[in-house]
Amino acid sequence: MNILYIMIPVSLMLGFGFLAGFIWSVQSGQLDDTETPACRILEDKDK
Amino acid sequence: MYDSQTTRHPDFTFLDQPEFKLKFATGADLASMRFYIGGMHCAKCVHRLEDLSVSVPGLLSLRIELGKDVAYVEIDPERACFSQVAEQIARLGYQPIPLEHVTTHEEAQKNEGRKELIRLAVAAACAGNIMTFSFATYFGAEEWALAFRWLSFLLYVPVVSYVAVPFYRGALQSLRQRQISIDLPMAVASLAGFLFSTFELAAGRTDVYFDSLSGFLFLILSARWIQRRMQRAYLRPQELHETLQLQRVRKIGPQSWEWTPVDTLEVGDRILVYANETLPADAQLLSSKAYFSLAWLSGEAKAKTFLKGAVIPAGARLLAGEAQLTTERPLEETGFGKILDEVRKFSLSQNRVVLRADRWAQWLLALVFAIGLVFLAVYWHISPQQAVQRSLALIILACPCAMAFGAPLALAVSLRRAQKAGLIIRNANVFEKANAVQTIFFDKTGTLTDTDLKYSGNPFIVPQVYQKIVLSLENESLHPIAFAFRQCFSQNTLPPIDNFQETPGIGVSGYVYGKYYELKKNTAASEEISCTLFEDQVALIKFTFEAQAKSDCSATLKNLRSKGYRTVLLSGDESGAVARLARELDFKEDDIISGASPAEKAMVVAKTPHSMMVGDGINDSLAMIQADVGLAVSGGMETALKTADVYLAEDGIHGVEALLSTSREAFSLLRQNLYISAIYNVLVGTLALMGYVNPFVAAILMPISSGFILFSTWLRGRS
Repeated sequence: MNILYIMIPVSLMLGFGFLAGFIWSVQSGQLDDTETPACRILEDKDK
Repeated sequence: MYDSQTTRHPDFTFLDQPEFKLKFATGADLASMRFYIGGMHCAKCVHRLEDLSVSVPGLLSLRIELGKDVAYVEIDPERACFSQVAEQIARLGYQPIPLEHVTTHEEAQKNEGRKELIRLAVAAACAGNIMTFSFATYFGAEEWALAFRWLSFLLYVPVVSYVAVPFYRGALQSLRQRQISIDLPMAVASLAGFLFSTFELAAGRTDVYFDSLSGFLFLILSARWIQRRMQRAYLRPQELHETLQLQRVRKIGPQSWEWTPVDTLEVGDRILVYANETLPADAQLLSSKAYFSLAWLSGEAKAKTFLKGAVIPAGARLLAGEAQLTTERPLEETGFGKILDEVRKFSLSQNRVVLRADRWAQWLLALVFAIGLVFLAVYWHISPQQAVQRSLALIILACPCAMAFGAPLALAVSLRRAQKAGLIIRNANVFEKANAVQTIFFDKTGTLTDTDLKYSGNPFIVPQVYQKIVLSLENESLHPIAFAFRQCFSQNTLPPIDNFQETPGIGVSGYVYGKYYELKKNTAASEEISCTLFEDQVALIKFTFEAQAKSDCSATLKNLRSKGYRTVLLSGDESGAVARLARELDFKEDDIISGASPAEKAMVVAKTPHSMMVGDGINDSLAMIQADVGLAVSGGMETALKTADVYLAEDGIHGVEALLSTSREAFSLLRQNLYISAIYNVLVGTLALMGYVNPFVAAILMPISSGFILFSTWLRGRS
């Protein structure tokens, strides 16, 4: 079970790494509008 | 109220004038503006609109936010102006309404939303990790148990010191107001649970509640977040509170007219009004003749003719052509201004949402606290440690949080459904009231019928000669009847007319091919709108006109009646005109009220319990306020939004049915959530007091009720 000494910190670091990433994405405004960007990609601009 | 004769787009040039720019535009050089855009619903709309930034030179960017129906426009002031952009948007078939900038409020809301989301993410991360550790412990990781408990403690520190802060704030606030709020038990649970568990942990015991508390706080937070997010996106029409049309007026200067804010209009200023526009002040007519509708005053749709020199009251709507006037009295001193004021005050005072479920939750809360205290006092003699532990478990576990958020959540979900059904709801109280509605009052003109007149006979059996004569006689006229004639008769060549005369209020006359023709309006009060063609004083043919019922009226009314609602036709028009429509739509004899002024309408509605008023304009606004539920049909958006609780974004009246069924759904959902939480509370409260609740039971039970309510609400909201 010694592996847990490494795995637990790693899992925590991973988890909080993702949390940090999420906080960054919120603060940079990426989640302010969750509806429109999905529509934007639907049409091919070059046609 | 919309006149199909004028397809001209509204004039947006006012947007380029400095005084309006200051009002609407933002940014350093006033280069950004927000528009509310009605009628957007799909990806196609987003593309068509956003592509404008390619095709319109000087338009730097145009970004749509679909959830809010808002377009953010940024221009290069050197190369483009806002009016061009607005016109382009209008040309694509949308109705852009510039939004006044409320920067501080808007920004604050955005920041608030982001903060809440981050808080939620932290709660999720901490709760998730704590859960992992404690489940590992419960399922036999014995040698690691102590380390896991300490890790849980560390992970709970951000929860108690950061995630739960809104609960502390809410609890303090409610205590200051001497009220019990749902935040109180949450704050108590979070803090007391933390202290108790830390104490147990330090003493080497295993009764720690970090897992259940963090999971529970996360669930409550997410329920609140969902609810707030839905309300923020869907209650937005509140921001459109000012009627745009009454903000500006064309003031005639030395050379030409220019847009002027209404509040700077002075007595004696000359103004210009176009068809379909509302007069923003009492004013004296300078043009030789004009047709105005005084619908807000009298509630009847008929046009009234005014001659030069007449004083026309504010709120009158010009029906056709254009008119020049001199201001006599500013808006706020006019009768119309006073109604608007009254309406505005009323809608401001009405916005607080008080829910019965909220009050129940408060009572239950008081009860739980009381039981907890009594138990503590009684059990203290038997075992102080057990007494504290069990009463704490009771308060934490049996607090009616599920009840408190189950209700608003059900409403938020229903708001979303309503939005999808084409209803714009200003006030979440509506569901509760709409659920009790028994009698539905319908206004006639503009609500059940279209506002345009139609010839009610068959145009093909009218001899060609007469058609030509009528069209020549009416050729110049701007009277609504003239428009109706032009719509149903079409002749290529019109005979010349001599000695033409138009006598306002009576009709037109003139000589055609040497004969004297008159087209006279029939003035008998009980009559429908009609006129008769005379040839040398001999009556030839009578034309009657009617306003066509909207296509979905008959079906909707039938459905409503079969569901047991009483439907009443409440009109300002005369009985003759009302009777025909009432027959067509099957209204009962007792349920037809005609010739009612706005005040009388309001009185009738106020006297009826559980009433709903469906109307379209300012003339119904008093009645809409008096009714338990005021519902405005499509068309009169600007005035209607102020007075009505609900506004139908789609044409027709089928939205009435949608509102009633959504309300019923909302209440069955509400009831379901209340039952679940009531059963849960009683059950868990008993278990807690009997001492059966250990950390493992708590970890399972606490998220169950909240999670179940969240899940079932989501499930029903989707269907």
